[in-house]
Amino acid sequence: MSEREVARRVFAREFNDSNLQHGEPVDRSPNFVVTPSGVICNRVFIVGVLTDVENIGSEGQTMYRARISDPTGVFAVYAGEYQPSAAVFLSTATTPAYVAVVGKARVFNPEKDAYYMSVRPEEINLVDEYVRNRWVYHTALFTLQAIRNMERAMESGLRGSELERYMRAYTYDSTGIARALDHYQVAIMGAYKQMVMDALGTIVDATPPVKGDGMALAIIEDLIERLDRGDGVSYEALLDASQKLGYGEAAVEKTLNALMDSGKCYEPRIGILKLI
Amino acid sequence: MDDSIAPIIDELKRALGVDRDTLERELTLLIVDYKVPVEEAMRSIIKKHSADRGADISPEAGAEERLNKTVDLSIRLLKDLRNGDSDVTVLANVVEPRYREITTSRGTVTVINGMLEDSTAKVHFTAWTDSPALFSGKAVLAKNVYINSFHGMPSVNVGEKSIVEVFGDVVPGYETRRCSLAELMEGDGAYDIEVEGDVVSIRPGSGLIERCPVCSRVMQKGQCRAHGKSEGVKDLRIKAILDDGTGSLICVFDRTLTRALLGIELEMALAMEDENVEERARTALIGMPFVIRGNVTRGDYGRILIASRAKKPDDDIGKLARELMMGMR
Repeated sequence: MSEREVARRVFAREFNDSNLQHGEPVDRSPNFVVTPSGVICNRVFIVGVLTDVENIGSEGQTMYRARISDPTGVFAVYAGEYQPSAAVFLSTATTPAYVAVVGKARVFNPEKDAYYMSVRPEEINLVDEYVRNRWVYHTALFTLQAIRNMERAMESGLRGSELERYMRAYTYDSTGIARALDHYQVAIMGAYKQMVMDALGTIVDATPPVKGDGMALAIIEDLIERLDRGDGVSYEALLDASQKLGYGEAAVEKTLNALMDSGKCYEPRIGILKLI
Repeated sequence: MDDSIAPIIDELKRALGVDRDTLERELTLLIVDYKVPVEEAMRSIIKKHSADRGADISPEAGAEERLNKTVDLSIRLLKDLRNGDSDVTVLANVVEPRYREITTSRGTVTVINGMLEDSTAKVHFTAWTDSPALFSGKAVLAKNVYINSFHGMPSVNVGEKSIVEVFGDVVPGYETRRCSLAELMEGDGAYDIEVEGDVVSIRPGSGLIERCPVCSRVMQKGQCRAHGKSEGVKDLRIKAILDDGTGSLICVFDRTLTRALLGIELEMALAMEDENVEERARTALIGMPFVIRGNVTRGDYGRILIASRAKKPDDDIGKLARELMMGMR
């Protein structure tokens, strides 16, 4: 059983700056893209804002091109007939929307020195602002680590397989680092640090998630919505339904308080609950 | 060099006898690069180098003092045990030991089993010979034990050639540890760990399934692979792939967690088409982050995280981002 490729987290700008392919173009062996900071990507996980979807299919062929924006740039995502669920998602998607995409990194190299990076989606789904903010933070952490590895590699003065061996103690990407150092203008690391800083700057004011169990909040909110026939839901009916889903009275009370505190739910009459 | 590092280097150098450059490199990595608090950085380094030398020491007790009491140079941390390891020495607390009669190919034998714990992991053990030291309520130093897989996780075996000694006191116990998926992908299974990652895929076999009424295995088309055709028992579960950017694992949610995650009852699922439950899992989970607790088992199908609890992370991202930016300046 071959091991599943880990989904790498990279910012759009660094992803789009990449033009180094890695690995033999043999059947069924995964293709890799090495980014300027040496991250070896086959699969990527991105979360951003879906800003545009275009149907670029022709002659009965399905093909959607989507733009997904993060704080540093835009990912191009192409879904055709072999990505049916992603294509269906994109055909009905409205913009703007927070989306998460799991997909494969692709390099399109139509002529010498012209490279276009894109993502071929395996999965795509709607998410919320918190998930996006969390992705920006985690991607910042991963990117800083990659930059540090690259700086360490430069300081070592080593190259090629010697560098690869040296870096193995610090990262699984030692091969990527050795290749990136030979291929890219690594002076760009300074600019990438600034890029990470700017990306973090966009989320510093993010409000913390509503206190309490996030899952319970979502489920009880959903229950109120589903049980409401127009004039609210009685507390007893909600409690009954919640208990069937494994939430006791204490959990329901706590969750309702959190929902009310965050202004998502109110009590039009005593014992009756309604979403805002 | 960071001002806060110099005095610590001297202290650690005295205690551990590790060279200055190594200490400086590691401390800088932890304190300057990773922004780890100084105490935690020291703890981590002491642990690392004492593990290299096989001693169990903790900074609170005074690194130097405890080093002199080094009992054995080859004590292994429980988290590092791998199936097939032999002639292993562990230092651990014994949790809930009890005598049990088990049936083996050579007839019925009485064994002692229970759990062993240190600060890094909790593992099952079986003692094939009577060892009263296991019931002392103190920590034990068990030498020449061997490791095999039990229920998909590494298990310590105390055999005829093993020596179990009471170690005087209890060692720091185990509390559910946060692991990266990369670490778990290298191990042979782990008991009660916590991970944080994003759901990147929902596998076939999620949603409404049928279990064999005899052995509870999942049935394919009304067939159990051990007990043949029979009327299956309906159940709900989700098999998701969790990925944290360092590794990925299949994660299984049982019926209780499935209904909490999807807000769906078995009866509701039965009224819908199979695909609808899977589709619902897809919409509810893909791309979503979760903090999951459970056991990682390693078996015929690779490593699987059997979830016992799942929740959405609720870190204050704005605050974390501000702290990270401060550290970068």
